[in-house]
This record gives sequence, C-alpha cells and structure tokens, in this order.
Amino acid sequence: MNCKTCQPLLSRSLDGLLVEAEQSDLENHLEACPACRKEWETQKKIQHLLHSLRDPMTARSVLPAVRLRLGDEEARRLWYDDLERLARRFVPVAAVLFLALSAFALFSTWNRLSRAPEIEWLVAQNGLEAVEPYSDLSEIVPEEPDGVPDSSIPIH
Amino acid sequence: MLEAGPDEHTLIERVQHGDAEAFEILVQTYEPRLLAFLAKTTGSPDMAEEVAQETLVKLFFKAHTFRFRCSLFTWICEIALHTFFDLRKQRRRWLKKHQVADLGEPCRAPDHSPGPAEKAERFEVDEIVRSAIAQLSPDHQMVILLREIQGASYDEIATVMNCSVGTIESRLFRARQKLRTILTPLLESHEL
Ligand SMILES: [Zn+2]
Repeated sequence: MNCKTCQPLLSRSLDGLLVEAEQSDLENHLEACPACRKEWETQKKIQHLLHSLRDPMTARSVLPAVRLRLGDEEARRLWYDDLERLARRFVPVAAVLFLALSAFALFSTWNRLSRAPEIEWLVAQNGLEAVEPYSDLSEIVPEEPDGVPDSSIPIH
Repeated sequence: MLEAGPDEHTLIERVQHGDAEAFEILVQTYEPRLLAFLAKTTGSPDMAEEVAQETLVKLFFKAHTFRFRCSLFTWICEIALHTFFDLRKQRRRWLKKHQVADLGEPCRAPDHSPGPAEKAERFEVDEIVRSAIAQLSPDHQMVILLREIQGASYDEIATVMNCSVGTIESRLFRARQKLRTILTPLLESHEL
C-alpha cells in the first residue's frame, strides 16, 4: 500500500467499512507513514466535531403550522380542481365553435374567389370569352347618347 | 434496506392515499428527530422550525413518490436538506441585496454545558464547523450531513441521491478532504 491508495481507505475506515485484510493493511501503512497517520488523526478529529455538533433543543413543534398550511394548500388545490373541471368542460365546446367558424370563413373566401358553376355553364354555352369579374361594363351595357336623359326610367 | 415495520409501512401507504390522520401520526413520530437533525445542521432553532414546516408540507404531497427503498427518515432528511439549502440561498440573496451582514442566529435558550467560557467556545467551534460544511458543494454537504449527522448508510444515501454507492464513497472521500483543508486552522488554533 502506498500513500495514494491509503487515502480513500481512510474515508471508508472512518465509516467502519473495511474488511479485515484492508484494515490490517491500512494499519501497517499508518504505522510506517507519519504523513498518513497525521491525516488519519485529523480526519478522526473532524468526525468527532461533526458528531458532537450540539442540538439547541429549543425548536418547537411545527405541527399546528403544518396543519394550517395543509388546509390552505388543500383549499388551493380544490380551487385548481374546479378550474380544471370547468376548463375540461368548456374546451371541447370552444374547439368545436372555433372549427365551425374557421370552416365558414374558408368556405366564404373560396366562394368569393371562384366563379359559380352556373356562370361557367352559361359562358361555355354561348362560346363567350372568359371575362374577369368587374371588367369593362361598356361591353355589356349600351352607352347612352350625351345629354339625352334615359326616358325608360319613369319619373315620379 | 427496508427499515419500516409493518405498522409504519401501512401508515405510509395511508398517507400516500391522502389520509390526513395517518399523516398526523407520522409527523408526531418523526418531528422530534427531524427538528433535532435540523437544529444540529442549521444551528438555529428558528431555521430548524421553518425548514421542518416546509419539509412536512412537502412530505404530505410527495408521499406517493416514496418507494420504500430506504428508511422513511433518511428520505425526510434528504427533502429537509434540499429545503434548507434553498431557504439559505434565498436568505443570503436577500441579505446581499439589502447589504446586511449574516450574523447567524443565536440559540433561543442556553445550553446545559458546564461553564460559560466552555459553552461559548463550543458554540464558536460548532459555528466554524457548520460554516465549513456550508462551503462545500450541495452534493458534498448532502453526503456529509446524511452520513455524519443522520447516520445513513452508503446504500441509503445512494438511493435518496439517485446514484451509485461508488459515487457516494468518492463524494464522501472528497468532502472529507475539503473539510480537512478548511478546518485545519481551527484544529491547530483550538488544539482540538
Ligand atoms: Zn502514507
């Protein structure tokens, strides 16, 4: 055994965990090595200091405070449970409403952008060129002569 | 590794199902030991009470995670130490922010040791030892306190810290070496 291998054994020896052979090897080394013997004595003193840390023994029971805290925690948990139940009930309803509204919005957008099938059929039947919606109305509506009011519109 | 007797086992199972009456019995059984462990560890009855209160509330809500692989008390001590480290960190942050020196807390009542001079010296030595432990990393503090103050076995410490026995052995070795470095001046000056 050398000083390096001796060190970890010192720690285990403090906890009484060495087997007989290890303990006797350690003791032989400690007898021959003043540095390790000093380390062993120091470690024993520190262990003694830790074991003799005093307990002021004036701490009072915390059970009444714990009871109060548990009551508060319980109330808070119940409140969260209620909130969770409420959320669980309303989330599906909200999701369905959201989906329905989205579908409606999508459908109306598509409807506005695409031509109705009847118009497509009329265009095909009359061999007309496809016209953009809101194209020049003068192609369809006959022009009025300048300054002559439209006599077909009755005046009341 | 199971140290709980059948009664205690049943009691823990009842607590795991939210039985408040079983919890009260458990607290009455463990509270004195927990307060003594915390008073030794923190050196302050006030801090010990604060940590114990927090620990027992956590115990009630975390009981269902206890797997009976170590003694219940070692598990409680591990929760208590984490709670203590957190509270101490919060307190130090507050003191730093408000620029107040941490003077520690005096004992509420005098100890029953022989003379005032000896008592004062023991108090001083205890405070130096606690402050030396506080200089270690949280993992090293945990192994030292569970081993030397609680008396937990390597197996139990490994279980609560969720690592191997070899890791605990090496942490204890390193923690002891660091403590030796920090405490050597104390040992020399006090001729302990
Ligand atoms: Zn040596």
